[in-house]
Amino acid sequence: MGALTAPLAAHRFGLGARPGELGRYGASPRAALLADIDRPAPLHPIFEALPSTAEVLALRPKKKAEDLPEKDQVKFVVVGAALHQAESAARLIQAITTPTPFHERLVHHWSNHFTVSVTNRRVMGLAGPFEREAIRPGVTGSFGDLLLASTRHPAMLVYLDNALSFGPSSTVGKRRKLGLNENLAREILELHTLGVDGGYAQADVIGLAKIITGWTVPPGEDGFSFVRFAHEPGEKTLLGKRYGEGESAGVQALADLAAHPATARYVSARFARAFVPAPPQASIDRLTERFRSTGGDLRALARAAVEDDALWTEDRRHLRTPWEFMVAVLRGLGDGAVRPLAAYVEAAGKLVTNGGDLKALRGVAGDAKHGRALMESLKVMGQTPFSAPSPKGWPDDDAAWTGPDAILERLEWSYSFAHNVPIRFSPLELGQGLLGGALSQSTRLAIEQAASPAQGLALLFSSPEFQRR
Amino acid sequence: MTMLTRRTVLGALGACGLTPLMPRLALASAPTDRRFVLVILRGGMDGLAAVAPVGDPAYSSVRGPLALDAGTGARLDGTFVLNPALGALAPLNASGEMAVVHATGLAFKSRSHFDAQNVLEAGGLRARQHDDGWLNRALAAFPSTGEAKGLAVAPTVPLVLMGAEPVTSWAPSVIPAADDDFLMRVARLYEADPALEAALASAMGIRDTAGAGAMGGEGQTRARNQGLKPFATGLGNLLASESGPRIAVTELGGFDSHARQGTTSGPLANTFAQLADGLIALKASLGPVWDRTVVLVATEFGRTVKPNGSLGTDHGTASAAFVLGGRIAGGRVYGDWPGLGGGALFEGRDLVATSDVVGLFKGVLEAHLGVSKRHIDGAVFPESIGVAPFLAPFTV
Repeated sequence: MGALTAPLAAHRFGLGARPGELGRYGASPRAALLADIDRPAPLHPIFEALPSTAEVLALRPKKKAEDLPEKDQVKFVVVGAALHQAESAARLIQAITTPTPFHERLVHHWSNHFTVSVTNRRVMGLAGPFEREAIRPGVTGSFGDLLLASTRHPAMLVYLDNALSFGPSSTVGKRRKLGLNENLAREILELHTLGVDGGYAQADVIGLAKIITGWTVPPGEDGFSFVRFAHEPGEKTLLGKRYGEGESAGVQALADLAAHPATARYVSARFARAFVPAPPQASIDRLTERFRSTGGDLRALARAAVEDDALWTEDRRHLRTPWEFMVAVLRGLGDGAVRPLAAYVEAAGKLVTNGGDLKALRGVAGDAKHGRALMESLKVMGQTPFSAPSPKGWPDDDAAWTGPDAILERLEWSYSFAHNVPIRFSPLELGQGLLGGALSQSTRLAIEQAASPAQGLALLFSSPEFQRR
Repeated sequence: MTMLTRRTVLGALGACGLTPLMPRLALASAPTDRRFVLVILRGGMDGLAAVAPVGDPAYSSVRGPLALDAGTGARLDGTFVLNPALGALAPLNASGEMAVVHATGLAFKSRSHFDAQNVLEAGGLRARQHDDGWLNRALAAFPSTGEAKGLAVAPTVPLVLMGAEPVTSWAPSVIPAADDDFLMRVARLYEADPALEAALASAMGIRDTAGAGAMGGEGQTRARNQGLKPFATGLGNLLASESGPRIAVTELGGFDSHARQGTTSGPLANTFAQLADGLIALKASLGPVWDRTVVLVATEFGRTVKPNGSLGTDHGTASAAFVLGGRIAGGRVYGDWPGLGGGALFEGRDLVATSDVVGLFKGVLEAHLGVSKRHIDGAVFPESIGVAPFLAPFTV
């Protein structure tokens, strides 16, 4: 059985304690976490500066890339890259400042579950709006709705190439001799719903791919469009059920996948792993049952996790990913990083509006330079937002982050960051305030005996209890 | 109190490889033409290793394996020699441009780095008696021009310069790199976590193979083994400018020599060499302004006289401070030497402090910078009114 503690609430379920946050959890950490998801704080105002999906798509050239003069191609690449920088920095501001961190953690989780990544360059500029418009509003709604919102969003359609998928017997397919692209259908089955062991076959991948042909973002459009001329005519089969022609058949197919028992198991297991590594089967079973019995109610699923004693164990602790680590450090120091990051967002935004060279972003000065340095460090540590290496998203097992290189990069960043922060506080008091009872005797001693305040602060951030959650 | 910090770069920084911007510091309506640089040595510098009292009869027996031979290093006077690792400073001593103040320490006796550094920088008789730094309080004596009055050449403004008076900071494009001392301390923390321990052990192995001076991104070099020099060169350039600041602070760490510190070679000697090279570079980049400059080098406490079980030393009390400048009363070792033998040691382990280092700070403020006694006693060091300003090194 796990002990309900404020530090676990703040660090495992939240995003890392801000100064004074442990006091908020106090005697009833569960209640505080549930309050986060019942009354999530609004988005940080920085996001008002960032474009919506429609606005980003409107920036796209009307013609195909190959038909454009080169300078226009370059311009769009620059705009995309600048938007990516702006969105990433804004996301960090949101994570640092949110007073309802459990809700934010859910956003991060579902965003990772439905990964879109700028490793496909056409996603640049769209990943932020995807998270904002398709994921964020749905993290306490129904899984089926979230699945639908994700699948229909231009970022997903572009990322997993559904925009390049044509029914072989469709009008366009026949005329231009184009065929199916199975990518999105496969990942829906393997990564979003049933899971790789969920009991589907290659024929089902093809069936789903055919069902969602025509789901695309045509050039010049500013959102999802069902293009009949690309849609595969006739009946299709998926997991033994027949589906007719048209867009609504795709909506129905996704709803059926969301309701599949294998989906409840796969999604719940992945959700449990968001909190502890190798969660006990009993916990996974409890979450699965809650998912199934509520028809995929994600608020109920989140509550089930918070209510599960075994997920409060101190015996299993995830290593913080680089993103989680930086967020926890910056939250721990209050709002100091917000202005530099906002200045960087502003600088990137100027590039989008006024055009120019990406070099301008590399050469920013003043506050923006510090903001950029933080984003660079995230990159060096291996985890820029929206750039997961594969559709599976960022790995949820710690082995991926405990390579010698990775650990050294964190320690180097801890050290250099701690030496660049004005330290007008006692690192030991900060450690006690952020970690509470989780601060170990040996870390306490190390901070006390540090050769300088900066070294003490670096040791706090490097300690096992801060590296894990 | 809010404090203005901005990064300001003057045109004279070509040597440090930075793009010069328009000078933003005020033309000198500064009250003084003189410059003052405080160099803080963090970690508790072993004054007995820096300036060894080889002439003290108890010295070699009590220092044991850490004792220097009498013939080693430049002789400063009848009793003291300068550690060869600091040998770059020997000519300065010979020409009277450097003086040592030995057996000096804080009135506040603490063996905690945090507390002692706090008192060294904030003043007072106990830790956290002041929120701001004594040097910032001293800046209030200079008229306000709307521009920064002090300069921190460090990644961030040290406490000694923090406070109501506006200061600015500058640091060269050098990312402070995790040094071996830090990584060893982390390794100790990771003994409780096998996965992290294994990863770190692997990383240390790789690091040693790769050698010193790894490159970071964008042409920024990791600061391994670069020490004080990059900071000192930039500092000198900034101070030398007519329209530049007059008061500056920089710092050097790596003095917390708990294990295998060595004598004329080893980790402590390496740090001494960095200090000496940095100070020489500072003098060089100050150019003609050197004659109007005083540099004070001070640490929060010294170290135990006897070596510990790891051939290092633990936290002590009194240490040595250095005074440098173009026109100081140098070439000697100031201080009332208490001796190392018999019952002379503080708590049986430390060199006794026969002077309060605050006296040295007061001395430079009064004699070199012309800060009034009233301001020093009333605002800068109100708890140390009884400590006489130590004026001798500044009275040429």
